[in-house]
Amino acid sequence: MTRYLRLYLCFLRFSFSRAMEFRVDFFFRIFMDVVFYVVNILFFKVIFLHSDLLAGWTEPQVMIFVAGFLVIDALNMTVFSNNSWWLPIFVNRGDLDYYLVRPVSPFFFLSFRDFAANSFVNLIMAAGILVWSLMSYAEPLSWSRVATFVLLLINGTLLYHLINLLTLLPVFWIHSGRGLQQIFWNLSKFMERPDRIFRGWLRMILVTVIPFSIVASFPARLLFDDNPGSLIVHILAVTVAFSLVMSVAWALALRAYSSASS
Amino acid sequence: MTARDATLSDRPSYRWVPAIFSMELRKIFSYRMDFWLQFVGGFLAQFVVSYFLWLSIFEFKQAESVGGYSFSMLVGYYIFSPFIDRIVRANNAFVVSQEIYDGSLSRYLLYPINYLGLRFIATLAHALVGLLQMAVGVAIIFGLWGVPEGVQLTLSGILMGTVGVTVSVLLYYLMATSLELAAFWADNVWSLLVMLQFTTAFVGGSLVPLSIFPEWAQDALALTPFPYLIGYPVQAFLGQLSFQQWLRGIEFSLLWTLPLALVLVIVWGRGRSSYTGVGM
Repeated sequence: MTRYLRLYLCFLRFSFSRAMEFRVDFFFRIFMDVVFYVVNILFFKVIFLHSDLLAGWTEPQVMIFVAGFLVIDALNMTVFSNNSWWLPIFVNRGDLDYYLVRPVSPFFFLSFRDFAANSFVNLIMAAGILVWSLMSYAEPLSWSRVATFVLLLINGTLLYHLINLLTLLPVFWIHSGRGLQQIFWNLSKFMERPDRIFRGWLRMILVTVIPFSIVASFPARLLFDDNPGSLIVHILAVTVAFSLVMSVAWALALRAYSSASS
Repeated sequence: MTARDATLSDRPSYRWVPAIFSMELRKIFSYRMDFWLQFVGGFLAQFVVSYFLWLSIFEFKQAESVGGYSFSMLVGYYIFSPFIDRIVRANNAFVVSQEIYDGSLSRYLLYPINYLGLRFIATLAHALVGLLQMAVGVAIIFGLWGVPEGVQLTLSGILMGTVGVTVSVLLYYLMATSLELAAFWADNVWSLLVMLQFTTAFVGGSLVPLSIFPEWAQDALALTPFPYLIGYPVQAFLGQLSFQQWLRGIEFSLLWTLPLALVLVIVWGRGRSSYTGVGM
């Protein structure tokens, strides 16, 4: 464990020094995420010009939900996004070899190697938006619920990363993962809307098989629902199930990997 | 060689245009799996999310219309908008910046062709495929589901929409390529294009029809090229625009192409003079 922590500190040092070398890209990415945040906040502001409630939530409640998924997006962009982007390229070029022969878990190395220092600035901004939305909420919120909410947002980020990886793994067999990655990005839109707008079998899928609704919407519901216990159990059960599926799928993928130009 | 022969050989030849067009089409269809996954996935996600969002609003409000749209008109809007969004952003493949970064732009500079023209022809090939996808997709949806109430699908609307979306492709190409040419100086420009994509989705009418924006915002946006990128062609297809309104939109869009083209040419000229051809 200590070895992995030391290794992660090395990743951080290397990522920050590299980010400082490419300063223009550093600022472009910060602005890009700021535009993303502004668009999402304004989108719901426009919606609330025409409705007082959305899926049972008031505007301040929806703003907390939006801030939640912005934090998840920023966490993902900071910790995982660059690494996920490179995985299909490494597989197709055979560069995965270098990670398989190292005396550390290839999954750890490939998931955490590249820390996006520029997105870290956006993570601070997203956290600021979250604090602002929580402070603007008129009803009292207990500290324990807020703390659980934050922990579930971190859990949501992990779950989001797992879903992303599961859509990337077919690259080990079909060799072109971009179409599937595009599907993941398209489906991510489900994460950006309150879960209770969906219904029927679609909702069932979104809270189990493709659990985008669990990522950000369930943690926000935890703040406002009277009985949040079942929500926590649901979120944790799906996360554990996805972790197990991921570990099996990863083992199968590595078995199918046949090195260069695979 | 006679003087006449010399004059003929100096004339610009456009025989490369169909060759580039067909080559681009072959490239698009060579990754069939990705092609179909993007087509179906892209449409379904955007449509389904918007459908349920508005269903929940209409059920809560018990209203007949929002921003001048009934629920069935909004369904029609969101059937067209994901397709048009995709057609307009056909250029968004980071090809230009990649060619600058890896130095492969050099070979095009040696050819007797206009590089920006070549890229626009490639963009048009993508747009044509997108239009065909939309025709197939809309036909299937309307065939299975019926035409939503209030949507007037007419030949004139289809023609006006097709011309409108072609002008939108040109507008977006000019904006996106100008940004992408920043690759001559910047280490990475994909974030600039993603920024343009977010902005276009919101103020172009892909996420929501612009008529639900406050009046002052609509007035301000009407002075920019953004509403003409997605919302305006969608309205043309839905039969919501009179010929006069459509013509005014086309004129305004074409007017915007002039400063945008000027910016593109200036950036291209400056970038080319600083291009070293060794890649980054």
